[in-house]
Amino acid sequence: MNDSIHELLQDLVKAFGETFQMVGISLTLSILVGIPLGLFLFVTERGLFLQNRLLNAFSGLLVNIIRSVPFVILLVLVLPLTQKLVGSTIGPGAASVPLSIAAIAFYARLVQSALCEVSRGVIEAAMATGASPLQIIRHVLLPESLPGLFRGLTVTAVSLIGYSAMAGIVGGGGVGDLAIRFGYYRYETRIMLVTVVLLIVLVQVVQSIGDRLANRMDRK
Amino acid sequence: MIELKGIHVEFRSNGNIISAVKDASLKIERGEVFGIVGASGAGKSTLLRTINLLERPTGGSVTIEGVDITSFTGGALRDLRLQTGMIFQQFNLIHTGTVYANVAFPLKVAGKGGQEIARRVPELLALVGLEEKADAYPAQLSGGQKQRVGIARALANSPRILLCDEPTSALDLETTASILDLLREINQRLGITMVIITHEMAVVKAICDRVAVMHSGEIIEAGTVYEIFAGPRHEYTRQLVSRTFSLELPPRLLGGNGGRIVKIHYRGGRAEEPVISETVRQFGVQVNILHGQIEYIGDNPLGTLVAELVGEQGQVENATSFICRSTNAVEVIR
Repeated sequence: MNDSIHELLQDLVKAFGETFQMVGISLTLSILVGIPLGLFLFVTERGLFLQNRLLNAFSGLLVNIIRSVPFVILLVLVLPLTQKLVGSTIGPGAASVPLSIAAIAFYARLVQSALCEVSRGVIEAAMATGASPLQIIRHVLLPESLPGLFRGLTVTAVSLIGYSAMAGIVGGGGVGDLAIRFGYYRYETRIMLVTVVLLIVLVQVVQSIGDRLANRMDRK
Repeated sequence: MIELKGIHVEFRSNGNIISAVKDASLKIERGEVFGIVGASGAGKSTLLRTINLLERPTGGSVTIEGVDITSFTGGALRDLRLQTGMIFQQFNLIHTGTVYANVAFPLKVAGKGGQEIARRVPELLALVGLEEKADAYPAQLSGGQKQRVGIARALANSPRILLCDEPTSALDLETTASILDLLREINQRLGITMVIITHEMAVVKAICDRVAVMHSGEIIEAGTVYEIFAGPRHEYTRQLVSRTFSLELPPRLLGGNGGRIVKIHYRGGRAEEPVISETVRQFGVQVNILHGQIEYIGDNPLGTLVAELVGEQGQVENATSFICRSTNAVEVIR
């Protein structure tokens, strides 16, 4: 009995480590790539200062394609890419590749909709001062949408925790994978329940931190 | 100073071409406060936005101090906008920035250094009376205070021109008056040319030197404020002006069988002449004043008086023609 608890604890620590690794890598990449991509989608829209219908339609299509492929399929589809980038198709590092791709596309749309919330009047006022597109992005768009960007990041993080469970298919590990392996394949309901409860707690913590930060930044 | 020549602005919407501004021409002199008045959708906002090219005209030209700016892009457009301030109906402040940050923004855009910004922002806040609010966020300010921040921001780079897009339409009457006073003061102290868009004749009367009236995309009339109020030529202008001078008599007065009722329009210096007392003295008729209003536009009085003349038929007739000769504008109502 003692042994099995000890073993479970070890498994759990390892699984959490893997989940944090996968979510951390993908979340970082969605900030680094998803925010610029979302900005690009927004400022090339009709009537905005870098209006470009062709580029807007093209990038929008790319994002939609990624978003419409079920994650399990995406996982398999990008295996050759994963092999090239990580040098392996197994483990949390490898699982981070499809997770990042999905998260970037997902977050880019959330970034775009957060930017849509910035009043056109404020953008126009900035244009009227003679500000360049980069100055408008830096001093107006990003600060004004920061609460929305944070809320979107929270949603993305929570989705990633869910998606990372599927990473077990390529041996990614993580808490979700633990739940599937023990609970579904081995019928160890107790262990499954423990992991599910822990996942709920994790999601709650992420959500409330995100909400708190977003509210603190919101000055409206 | 600003010359708009044959401005056309067309929008494409669902395959239809909509003309927002049709063949609009205007000349705005240096240092004046020029009003553009009209109903919403008349195209006045669009016309205003051609002056700093937020809206690029599809036809015609915009000339500022002799330079045709219509096709300006890049650095030239940026310089033009640095020298043209703009304020808005909804203030359009950056919510996540403090008052200080909002006013500092155009200075940063102009590439001013930290020291100069730190010196200039308090100066601007003092100009609009908001020294105490530098660290407040827009959400903590009243509408009038927000517009003051907007004005400080617009003046940051010492522009030659200030464009005002319905600057008081979101404000209550009292605040409107204080904002208009501030704008007038800035116009006089700094000599900035102002173009103000409004749908309220009261704003025109309070602050403008000259005014253009727009109706469905066209400028139908332009002149000094006094000219427009005293002698509106276009039907639409007449309606606008008559709303300011609404002298409705209760039906009871019109229905009775008292004396003759006349409506006398005073224009210019005549409002101060003692026409009524002359009439009483010379013709021995009684004059009952039923309704009246005198407005002062700048220094010029402009008024309307509704009076009942009671007396012998012949005397009333003579009195009427005397008033008519003295004022040039009499309507016999009954």
